[in-house]
Amino acid sequence: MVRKLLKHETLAFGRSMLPMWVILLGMSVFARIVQFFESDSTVYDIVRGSAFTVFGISVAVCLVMTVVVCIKRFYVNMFTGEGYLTMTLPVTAEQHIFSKLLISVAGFVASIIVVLVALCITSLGEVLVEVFKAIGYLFDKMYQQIGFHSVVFIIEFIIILLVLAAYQMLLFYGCISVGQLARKNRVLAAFGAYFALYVIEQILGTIMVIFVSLQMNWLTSLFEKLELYAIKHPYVVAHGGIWIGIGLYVVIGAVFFFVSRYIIKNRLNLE
Amino acid sequence: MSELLRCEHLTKNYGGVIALNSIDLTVESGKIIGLLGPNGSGKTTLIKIINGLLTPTSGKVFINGNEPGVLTKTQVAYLPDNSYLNNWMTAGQIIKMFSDFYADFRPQLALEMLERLGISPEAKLKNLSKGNKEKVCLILVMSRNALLYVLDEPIAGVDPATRDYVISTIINNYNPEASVIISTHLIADIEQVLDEVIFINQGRVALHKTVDEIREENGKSVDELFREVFKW
Amino acid sequence: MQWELDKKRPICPQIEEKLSVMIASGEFKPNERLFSVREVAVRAGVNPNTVQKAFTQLEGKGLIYSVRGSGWFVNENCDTAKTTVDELIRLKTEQFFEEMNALGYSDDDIKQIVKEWNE
Repeated sequence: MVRKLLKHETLAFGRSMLPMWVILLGMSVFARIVQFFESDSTVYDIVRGSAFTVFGISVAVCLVMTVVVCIKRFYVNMFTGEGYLTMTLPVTAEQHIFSKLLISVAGFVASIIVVLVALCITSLGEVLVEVFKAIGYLFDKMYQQIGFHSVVFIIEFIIILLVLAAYQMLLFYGCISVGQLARKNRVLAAFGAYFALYVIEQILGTIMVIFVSLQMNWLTSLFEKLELYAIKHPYVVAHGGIWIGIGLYVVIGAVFFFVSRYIIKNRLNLE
Repeated sequence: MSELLRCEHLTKNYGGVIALNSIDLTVESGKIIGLLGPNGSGKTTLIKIINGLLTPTSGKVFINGNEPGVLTKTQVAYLPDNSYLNNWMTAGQIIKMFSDFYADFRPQLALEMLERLGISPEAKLKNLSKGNKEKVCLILVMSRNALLYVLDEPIAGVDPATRDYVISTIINNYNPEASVIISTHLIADIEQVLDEVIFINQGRVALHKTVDEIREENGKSVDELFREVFKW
Repeated sequence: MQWELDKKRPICPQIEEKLSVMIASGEFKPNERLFSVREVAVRAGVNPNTVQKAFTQLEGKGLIYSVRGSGWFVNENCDTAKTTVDELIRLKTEQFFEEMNALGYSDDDIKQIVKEWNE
């Protein structure tokens, strides 16, 4: 069932995003072509300048649109008129959420790849070669200094990006689902839930800061021990810190997942 | 003949407004049942609970012994009262989608019915007339080999020709092991097809009888009785 | 929906009557295959269960018989069909008189009217 859901999700997602990707790539080709010609006319200068401006805007629009499509797919497909079909398919709530999450993250990755490809196109030629050379040089340097840890850091960086994207989507899903508990103005309630979470996050952060600044003895000594350990084993602390962060986002993301699942499964009230 | 649907003290409360008030109801298999009541009487609420789109405030509903869930969704074929299909999809794409998700869907039957209507599978839904769109929706539902068909207002706002088409499609695809629940406030058009009627008013079951009982006991058509019960 | 039915009376006997008339009038010959349940249901726009019941009733009266897998057939002896039609005619006449009486005509008036109408 999940495979079929993924198929239909991909189709619907692609339908919404494909035109944008094509436009973006088209803009990048245009921005590259205008560089081929030299001219003294101010009109041409304006065209050349605006080609880049428009390309830059397209990149921004593409990224924002990806997020919007991800959110819309969840909200519209589950909780509006389309929900009459979606919610009467013999599919569990977790299968619905999982397939939407997976396609959202994949769509986000696809958008980033398209943006990178478009950037490459705009600088196709010597510039691009130089850029790649520079990247290669940086990586070489890094590898010389810290060895295989550089590879691990890059992999960890990619994992962080994916986990963050999934976390962000699950946060949206959770808020939209909580919004459905309201009797009226459910979209507004979803924004309310999002804002409330933000406030809670800020409060927790403040409490942490206050906690640390109290300089309690045991806490200070813990930090000192940690510092000593970090000097002895810097990589263990670095990787450990990254994985604790990833774990934290996975756990909070899972909470949002189960909140959404519970609401869809046990508290659904389609209008 | 076995029990197909059972409601026990089913209640739905929309923040103070009682849409369903402790409904007790049993429906057997092999029947065509009219769920009749004026607008806002609770028909759609009941139907949406059966399909798991609404959560009851209290009470329970069982379809073939199970509460609404993945299993019952494989057994219930539902025609909502509003258009719920993606307008940009073609009739053929939707048929494919239904065969992907519903094991009991018969795509060949659906395609045949489309062909008889002269609707191309390549036709986008948004380009179909309102009547044809409703027919496509009905074809999709009746092409399933379900245990329980739940049709919410299938003949509201359609022209007489479409209405006749809807009724004969229901009869033609009726399977004696299944039951069909048809909600409507247009009783005269559909009463000849019904085995039983459930009158529902202000969230309560006002009457649940076989159609022949009504005709024999009252010497009236169901429509006439309905007008008497729901005098306003 | 080709068959007109009276919504105030139970559907089942009306289906029986329709089919009896068809058999009695020779529209269906003995041993000829009758409509299927579904055909009748669609033609009359009624519930297939009701039609099934009507067929079973007619079988009980000896008008028709069923062959497994191929449907319903008309019996050799059509007298029962005629009896059913006779009953129907008597019923219709009774209804006619009742309605005319309700309009204020006496039985004699009605006979007079029928006579005039015939001429």
